[in-house]
Amino acid sequence: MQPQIFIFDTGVLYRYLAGKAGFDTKQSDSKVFESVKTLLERGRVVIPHTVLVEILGQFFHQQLCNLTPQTLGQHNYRAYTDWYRARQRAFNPIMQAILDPNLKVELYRREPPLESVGFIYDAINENLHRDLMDFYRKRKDKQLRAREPKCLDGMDGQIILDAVSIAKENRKSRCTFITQDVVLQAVIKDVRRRACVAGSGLPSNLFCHSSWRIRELLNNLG
Amino acid sequence: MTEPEKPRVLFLDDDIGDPSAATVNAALEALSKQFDVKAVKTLAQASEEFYKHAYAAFVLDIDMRHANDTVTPTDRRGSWLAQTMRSLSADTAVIMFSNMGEVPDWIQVANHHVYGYIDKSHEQSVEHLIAMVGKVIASPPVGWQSPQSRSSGSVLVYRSAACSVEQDQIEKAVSAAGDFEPKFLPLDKLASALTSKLPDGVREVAAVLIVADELDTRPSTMSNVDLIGSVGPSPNTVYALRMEKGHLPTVLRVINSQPFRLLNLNDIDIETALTDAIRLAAYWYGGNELFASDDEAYRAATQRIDWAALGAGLLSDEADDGELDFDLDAEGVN
Repeated sequence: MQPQIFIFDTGVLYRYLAGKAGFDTKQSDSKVFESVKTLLERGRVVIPHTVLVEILGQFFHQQLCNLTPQTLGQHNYRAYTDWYRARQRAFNPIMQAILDPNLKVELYRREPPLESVGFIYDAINENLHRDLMDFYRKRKDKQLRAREPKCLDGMDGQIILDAVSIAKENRKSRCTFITQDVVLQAVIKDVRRRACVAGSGLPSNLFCHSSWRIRELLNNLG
Repeated sequence: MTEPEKPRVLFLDDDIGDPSAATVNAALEALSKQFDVKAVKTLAQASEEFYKHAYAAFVLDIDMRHANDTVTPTDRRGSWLAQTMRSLSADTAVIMFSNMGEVPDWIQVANHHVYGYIDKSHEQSVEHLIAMVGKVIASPPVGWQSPQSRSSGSVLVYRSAACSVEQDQIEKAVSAAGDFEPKFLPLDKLASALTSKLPDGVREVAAVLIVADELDTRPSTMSNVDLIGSVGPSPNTVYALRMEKGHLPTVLRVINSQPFRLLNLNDIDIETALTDAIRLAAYWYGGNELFASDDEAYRAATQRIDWAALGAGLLSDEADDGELDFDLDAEGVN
């Protein structure tokens, strides 16, 4: 078996940056940060390009300035450049980790094959549907937000396709997708169920791990 | 119609306002005529400004012994701040303006790719500073440049005639860095190979290495240094020189050519240092090198970020502390 591959979700990158900045709202957050840091330093990590694009969008293209009733709609480019520089500095460690020649972090940026469109186009199966509805029913905040219940909308679909492709290209490695997103956990769980069916074309070496329990992954790093 | 805002420049010098510091005061006055200058006297104030605002250029003094700075540890110098700034933001333009820099300062700022370094004691230092800041403003940062890493190819090498580093040491260092082949050339031939046609039999150039106990100061040598620097980072250039305080004018010319690495032959395990520098120069070919920032600086730089608001957009489907996580080991799934 080849060394394990860890695939990071967007939320994992965010927790890493927030932890590095000292923004840990709970003890569990700082444990996630420490474990992600160890994986970046010692493990083989793959970051799907889509994950990078999603977090870039979050950092650089939302809340473009600190809006107040006084500043709403004002063109103040200097204020924007101040805001941009602050965001750039906050984001720097991710680019540094991806490009650091001493770390084994890879940016995955291959186009998924055309047949993978079916993964998003097809109806979700009954098991996945049950898991999703269970999640929404049990969630503390039972209020559904716009677009919910949802599954593979927007970037999420592409991120899962990337994870599937990474696993297919590395069949001799255990590929572990690390996420705190419960919906994505349900989807990967479903991929594993479907991979057992002959002819599914889905990889049997793709696993999911909750980032709340990420420390368990450090035991086998060597 | 409103007038366009002047570009912002931060000017750090512990002697600002001291009547005896004529050059500092003249530089500040000249800069202020053209730019929106914020003048500060301590590293702590300069750091704070860096974290708060976007400046087009930072002009930094090195020796800060006259500063009344109760916040910053006393062993920190302007070269430390240059490193911090460049680590946190790869396209920050930093210009050192000092006459008290030591060899370790030269190496620290060169290896973190400052835009330039001006000797404050030079007769025309103020004119040089204004010209350099003007050049920064006229050619704003190119933004993100991803490296086009090279793992094989030629390394063009200039080894000065009376160099204490043997040719076979250089050959070993280059070979140990990867599938690289050293090609020894005179300095002028090396410069023209980079800017026009490669000599026959030379593979694609992955990096350039200049090794000399001391570079001569002839104008032709210095203009070749400029020419070689002008093609970086495609390829990057590594300088390995034997540096002492008296070499300042030559070394500043090298720093101002924006080398990838500046190594002091007096301090290093030559072969290992050359190998590492060549490997990294080839790795960062065509891109801007990123540096790890220390945690203290990162925390200070990011304290104004609203992490809760940022996270809200990313973590909406997450369970609190994992209480709703699926048991991924159950149902025979794993």
